[in-house]
Amino acid sequence: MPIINPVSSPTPPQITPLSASLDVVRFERVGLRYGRGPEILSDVNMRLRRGSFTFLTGPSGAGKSTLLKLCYLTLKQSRGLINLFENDVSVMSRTEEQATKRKIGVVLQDFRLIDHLSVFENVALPLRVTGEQRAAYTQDVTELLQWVGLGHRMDAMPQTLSGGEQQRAAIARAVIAKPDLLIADEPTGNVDPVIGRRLLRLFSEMNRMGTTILIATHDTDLIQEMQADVLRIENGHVLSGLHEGAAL
Amino acid sequence: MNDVVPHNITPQPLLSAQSDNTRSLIIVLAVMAFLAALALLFSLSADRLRKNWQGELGRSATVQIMVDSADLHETKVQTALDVLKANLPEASISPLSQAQSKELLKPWLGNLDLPEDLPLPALISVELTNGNVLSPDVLSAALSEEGLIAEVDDHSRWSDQIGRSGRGLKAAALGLLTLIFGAAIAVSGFATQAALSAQRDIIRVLVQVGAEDKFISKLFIRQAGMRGLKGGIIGVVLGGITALFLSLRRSEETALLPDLGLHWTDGFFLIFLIIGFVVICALAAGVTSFRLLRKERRRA
Repeated sequence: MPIINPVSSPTPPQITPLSASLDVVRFERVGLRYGRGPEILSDVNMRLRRGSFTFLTGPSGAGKSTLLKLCYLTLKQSRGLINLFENDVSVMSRTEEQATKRKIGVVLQDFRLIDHLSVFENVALPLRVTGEQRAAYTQDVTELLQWVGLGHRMDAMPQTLSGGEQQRAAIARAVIAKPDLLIADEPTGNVDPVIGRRLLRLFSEMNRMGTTILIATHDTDLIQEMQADVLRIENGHVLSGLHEGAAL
Repeated sequence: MNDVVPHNITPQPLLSAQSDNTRSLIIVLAVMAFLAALALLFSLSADRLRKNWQGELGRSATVQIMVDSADLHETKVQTALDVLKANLPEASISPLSQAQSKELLKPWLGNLDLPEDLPLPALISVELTNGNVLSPDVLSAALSEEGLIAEVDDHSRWSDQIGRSGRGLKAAALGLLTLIFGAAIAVSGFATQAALSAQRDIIRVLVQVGAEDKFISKLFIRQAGMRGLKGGIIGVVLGGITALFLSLRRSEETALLPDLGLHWTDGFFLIFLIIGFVVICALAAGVTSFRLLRKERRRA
């Protein structure tokens, strides 16, 4: 199936054949409703190629966060097909589901840091749940925390951090296990421009190393700064013509 | 770059300790372990007592010879002794003196001065050794052949009653123990349920970073196991001390009750009781958390 280059690209759209095996995320006619209510997402068709960098944009309440939740397996679609890493999520076992989650790093707007764990422990969490020993990951976690500017706060508890610091800790936690897919919901919303740019460099570097990136954001400057695909969502629909980079 | 390192060198527990009312739960578990320890010691003690009594009764018998006249007392006793020695060569046979026989009658007749010529039955105590078996019928027949009117009491009637009572007490104590363990399972299950609810945000994060149900359940199993261990140790130690105290303070009035004295082997049972507490608390937590996590699937 052909895909088209992103609208943000200055060059004209270019049709490129894409093997299904290159898809990290693939949505086909996906719909989502809560109970008997109206559909929050309707007939969503999209794919994220392996190693792609995609922005998801759209007005508040359009369904960006909901779409992300489907991508990181917190919600289950009401209809349609979702494939993650070539696996149909609707038939995944619990073990497969958790194994898939370990390939995904997630940065949420509410950060979800664990209050009684230090910043270091919060960031190390994805490694700890896989059974890695502390000695094996201490250096990686320390370096990453220093890189995001939290080297001096690694023993601090999350409630003593500013919003920006919490966000950086959440980002560090999302990337520490070098995920295949990184999903971020407004990752630069609470940080100053300098840190924001540094985080973007981190995402770019990860993308260069092969991580597929999907970032939901309102920040048009950010979108323009990066040469990346753009998906635009409105009223639960991924709009055609604006999301060529990743739409089916 | 690595001159800055975290000060905590051991990983912090992933579950919050404050949110599950740990102290109250340990007290409840300690009370249960205390009662369980007493029930266990009572059961062991009752069983030990039953075996002792039955063993003593099984090794002894009382032969009662009817004597028509006090003059014939010595003769009949001697004849009976000869018969008994012939039939039970390895047994210890000892006749009770008339004074001892009169002493035995006191509970029934009081402190009255009995006439000297009162024909009291002659009592002969027989103690068996080397596991010999006594047959009352054979012995009665042998005594009868010598013209003696005799009754051989091998105490089997008492032994059976003691056996039944002892087994009943043991069953009651074990039933109580089972009930306490059942309650501990329920408490641990409810505690885990409450902890899962209180720590939902933490679990949500763990699920999000890819922790498997098994990993999360292990956290609750470890937490519940530690609670069981602390409660078990406190309760069992207090139970042991109480049993020892009761044993030391046992007075004449309580002499009919089983002696709760500790035997050194009881220590092993008490250790098993603590292990049992740890295991059931951990198991209940594991089953509850695993079941609830599966139920909560996709609702994170």
